[in-house]
Amino acid sequence: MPAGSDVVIKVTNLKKYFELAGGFLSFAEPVYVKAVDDVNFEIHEGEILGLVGESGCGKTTTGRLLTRLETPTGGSVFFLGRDIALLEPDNLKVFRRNIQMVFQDPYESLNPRTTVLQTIIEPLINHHIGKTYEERIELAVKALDDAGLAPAREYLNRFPHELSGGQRQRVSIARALVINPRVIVADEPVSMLDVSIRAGVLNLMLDLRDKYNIPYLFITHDIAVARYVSDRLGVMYLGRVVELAETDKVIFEPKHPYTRALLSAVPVPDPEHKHGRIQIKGEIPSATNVPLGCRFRPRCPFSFSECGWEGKDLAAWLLEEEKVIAPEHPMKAHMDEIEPNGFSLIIKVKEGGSAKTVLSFIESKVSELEDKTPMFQAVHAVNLVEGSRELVLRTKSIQVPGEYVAKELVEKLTASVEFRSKGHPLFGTIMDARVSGPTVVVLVGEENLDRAEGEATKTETTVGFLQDFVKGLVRGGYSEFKGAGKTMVGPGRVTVTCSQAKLTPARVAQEAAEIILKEMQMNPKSAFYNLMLMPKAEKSSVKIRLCSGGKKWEEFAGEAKGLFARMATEGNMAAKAVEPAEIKEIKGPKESVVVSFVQTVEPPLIDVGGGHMVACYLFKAPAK
Amino acid sequence: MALIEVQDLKVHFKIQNGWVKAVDGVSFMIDAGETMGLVGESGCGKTTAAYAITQLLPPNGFVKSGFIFFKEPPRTRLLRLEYDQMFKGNPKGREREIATMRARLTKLLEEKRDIKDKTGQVKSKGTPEQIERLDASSAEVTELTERLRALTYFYDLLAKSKLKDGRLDDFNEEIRKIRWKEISMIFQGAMNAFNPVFRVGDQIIEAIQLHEDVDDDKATERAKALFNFVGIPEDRITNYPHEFSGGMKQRAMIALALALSPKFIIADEPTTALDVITQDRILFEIRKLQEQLKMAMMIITHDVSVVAEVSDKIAVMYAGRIMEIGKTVQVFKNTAHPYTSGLLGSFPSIEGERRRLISIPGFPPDLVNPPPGCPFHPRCGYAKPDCSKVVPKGIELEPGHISYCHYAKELQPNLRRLGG
Ligand SMILES: Nc1ncnc2c1ncn2[C@@H]1O[C@H](COP(=O)(O)OP(=O)(O)OP(=O)(O)O)[C@@H](O)[C@H]1O
Ligand SMILES: Nc1ncnc2c1ncn2[C@@H]1O[C@H](COP(=O)(O)OP(=O)(O)OP(=O)(O)O)[C@@H](O)[C@H]1O
Ligand code: SF4
Ligand code: SF4
Ligand SMILES: [Mg+2]
Ligand SMILES: [Mg+2]
Repeated sequence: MPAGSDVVIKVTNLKKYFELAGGFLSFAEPVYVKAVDDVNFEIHEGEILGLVGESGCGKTTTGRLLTRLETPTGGSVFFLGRDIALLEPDNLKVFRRNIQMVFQDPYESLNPRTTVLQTIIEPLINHHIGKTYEERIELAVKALDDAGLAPAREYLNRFPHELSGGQRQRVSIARALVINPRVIVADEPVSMLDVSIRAGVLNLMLDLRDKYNIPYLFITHDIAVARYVSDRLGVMYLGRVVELAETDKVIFEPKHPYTRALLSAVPVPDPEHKHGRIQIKGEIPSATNVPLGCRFRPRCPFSFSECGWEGKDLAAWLLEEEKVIAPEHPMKAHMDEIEPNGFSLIIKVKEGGSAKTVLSFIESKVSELEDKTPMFQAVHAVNLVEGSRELVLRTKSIQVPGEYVAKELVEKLTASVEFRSKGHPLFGTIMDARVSGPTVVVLVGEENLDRAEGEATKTETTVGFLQDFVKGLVRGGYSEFKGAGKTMVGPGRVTVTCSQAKLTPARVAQEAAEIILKEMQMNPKSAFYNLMLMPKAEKSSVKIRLCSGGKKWEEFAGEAKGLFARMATEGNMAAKAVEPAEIKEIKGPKESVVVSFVQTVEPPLIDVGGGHMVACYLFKAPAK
Repeated sequence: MALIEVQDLKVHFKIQNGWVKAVDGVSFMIDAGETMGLVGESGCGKTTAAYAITQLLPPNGFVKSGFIFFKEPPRTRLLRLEYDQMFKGNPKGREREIATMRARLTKLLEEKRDIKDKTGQVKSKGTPEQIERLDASSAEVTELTERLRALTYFYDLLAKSKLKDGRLDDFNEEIRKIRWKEISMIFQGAMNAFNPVFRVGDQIIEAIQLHEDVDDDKATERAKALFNFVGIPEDRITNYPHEFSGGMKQRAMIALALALSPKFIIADEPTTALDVITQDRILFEIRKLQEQLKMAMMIITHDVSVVAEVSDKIAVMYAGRIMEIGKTVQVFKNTAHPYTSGLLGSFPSIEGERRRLISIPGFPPDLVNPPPGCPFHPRCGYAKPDCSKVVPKGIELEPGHISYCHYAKELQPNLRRLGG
């Protein structure tokens, strides 16, 4: 079954974070469940894309995002090239009709008080399909026939409780089919069904695909079922797709360590079958606390130095394996609290203990174990920190002209929407974006004259997209874009005019913290690479603590001053509103030892050959 | 040696408009150290069969017939089968036989009491002949006792607690001693069976102390050992249920079922709600149980792959009856019942080629009015006229491999089976 090449659904960098209620600790920072965290895939015409993964990995949330039952925190879902978040009411209706869902529980998804006929005719009425009642009944009968409920007329007047589970699920499928959708999202459609019924429903879905070429997103936790129905298969772990390829490639040549472990655990209905097991450690971490670097690393049996080790890992090692708090351990007298801080671990030194002793203990462990343990190989530096000092950069507010806002907007636009790359759904719609004074000019591709009914024009799509994009930025705290809502349509272009705005001290602090992170902490060329704890942006200041003592602090102040001056001359307005760094005395333990790991981003999902996508550092893209 | 033998068990539920024939003539045997998988679709009576064994039937459950023999010595079993054959259709004869034997036994015991005192010491006045006769008679007492036990179904658990109407007496002392200590059960959906306000460890300790007279320290030691055995770090013993993941709760449940070292464990869908990786670990613990503790197990599931992973033998149930039973390999590879074949054919696998699944037409029957004859006949592609009239008898195809299909022998070579 070669999949057609027309993309029906495209998902880019899709994210959904649920904010957990703060409870009485309302001062605490909000906690997010990262249910879907940067998911990318495409569904082609006539293709069944399977999505598997353990409970809570984000399958259902992905399905709900696709059908607009949930709004993404980030990223987009494109239906036939259009971002579904930006559909206006008319197009939204068209979209709603074209995407249908089949749910897990046929008992819940059907109204117990409506007959089969009413259930199936309802969407026809809602979407004004069929002119007469008789015509609608005909359509309903055809859908029931297609769904394998024959003779269909016998079922029309039955209520759900008069049907078996398999029959109910067939009614759900008929209801989804009756309005001729372009794509179906099926979330665990057979999980509640009896084994002997299940095969029939699966075959039905396959047959309908063959007959009408409708693509499906087929969500299931049952890998054998997913293998049976899908042409391509995506494996999710903790909110992310970690492997995606043709189904048999995933099943027989799994690459990602998680996929391999998952497959080795699937029971096989053959008493003589022996499987090689790949054991993985522990349990799935909470989606509120996703590991840095590769999110599978804490459980990965193949993890190595480049997978992104973090402070927590070393903390666990110190406590559980080295047992530094055991009474007989030599560090007992020296180490106080240990506190993971992103890619670093802060080890506070006890009153009367010696930081030097702690430092040399850690250093000796690193050199002893770096050949044996990937975690120690990933240690970048071990430093002393003067706990009683911190660097403070004060920020003030600043007026920025419309030109500046426009420039920022284009930058944000090009950074987050790669419409210049072929294959992007907005490719061909948005051609280019540039600044002209306080105005952003977005060039729109030529309108397609013989466009299908109900489709938006490219200009309309662009206007909707830009308005929502700006709204999204303002919602995300970028208050300077508040005055950038005015869009105008000209021939082949859409313009956005930006008015002058004020950057608040907090916004400046946020920008400044980002600059420091990007230009120093995460820049391997900087003398301060990996040498600080996470800079903290506050209301009107940025606070930084360096993992080193003495002269470095003064050096930092000088370097930061130079950096912001340079950025300011380059036109960065925020940089102009940052004052030189001062070193402040604060309360806290005198000294700490900070162990920093090499900073690693999450392995991206890349094509490692032949369309086999894997998100793991063990696999590299083939050389061109 | 059979540790537990279920024979012709029928359990029906009384409902408003009739009886649900949930278990309707089920027989099987499980040896010590053996694991049997009981598979079948939802509602076919698996849990009900398990509840009859542990005698935890709901109040509307009635045992209509059958026996559950537990720890019956092999010779008693042979005698019982002989007597059953001998007195088939002749209950009066059986009663007479019992009466004769009881009389004889009473007489022998009286004689004995004349010769021996209460403590079993031979009274000083006993003559040498008397003592010789005593030896002979005590051999006869043993023999008679065994025969009487066979005749009166002494090892039948149901006989101990069954009330006249077929309900089971919840408060029967003997059964309460056996339940948990000798036969224990991991319930379906048991993950939520722990009381949320008490620590998991304390609940296990309490279970131990309820049945055995051990002090807190000893009980705690044992609970820790159980935690270790099922793969939960022993320091988690002080956790509350909500601090455990689903898989950990299920393991703790296994620990609880093991707490009193029972001889027989029934696990009802022990992994159904779990993810594959967790399921795989639990199945691993179960195999460890089989190897190290040599206890007998019955695993109830609807998933034939789970059975393939852990069971020595398998019983396939449909509409309250067993369709096919045998060693797992026999049933999977030499399938001799159309329903088993249908079940295997409708399971997708990640092994081998992708083949079209064959679904069984129709749906499982309503057990208030199950189809007459072979209950599978409305859905069976091989059904012939007599299938809807005559209930199939078991046909033994190989030792231990029995199919309840009239045409088992003829159909067996043609049935779709694993890899076929
Ligand atoms: N409305 C919500 N509010 C908060 N958290 C949520 C919400 N919906 C889902 N989550 C969380 O998001 C994560 C992903 O949930 P989701 O239902 O998408 O998983 P799933 O892969 O479908 O799991 P399952 O196989 O159990 O259905 C889980 O941690 C879940 O608890
Ligand atoms: N208390 C009850 N009263 C009436 N009918 C009952 C009762 N308990 C169970 N039943 C019925 O008896 C039949 C067998 O039920 P049982 O729970 O033994 O099935 P099962 O094989 O364990 O199914 P599952 O796989 O769904 O757990 C079903 O038809 C069920 O509806
Ligand atoms: S990147 Fe690959 S090898 Fe490294 S931890 Fe992740 S899955 Fe394992
Ligand atoms: S007895 Fe008849 S109906 Fe039943 S399984 Fe055998 S052939 Fe089919
Ligand atoms: Mg779900
Ligand atoms: Mg059950």
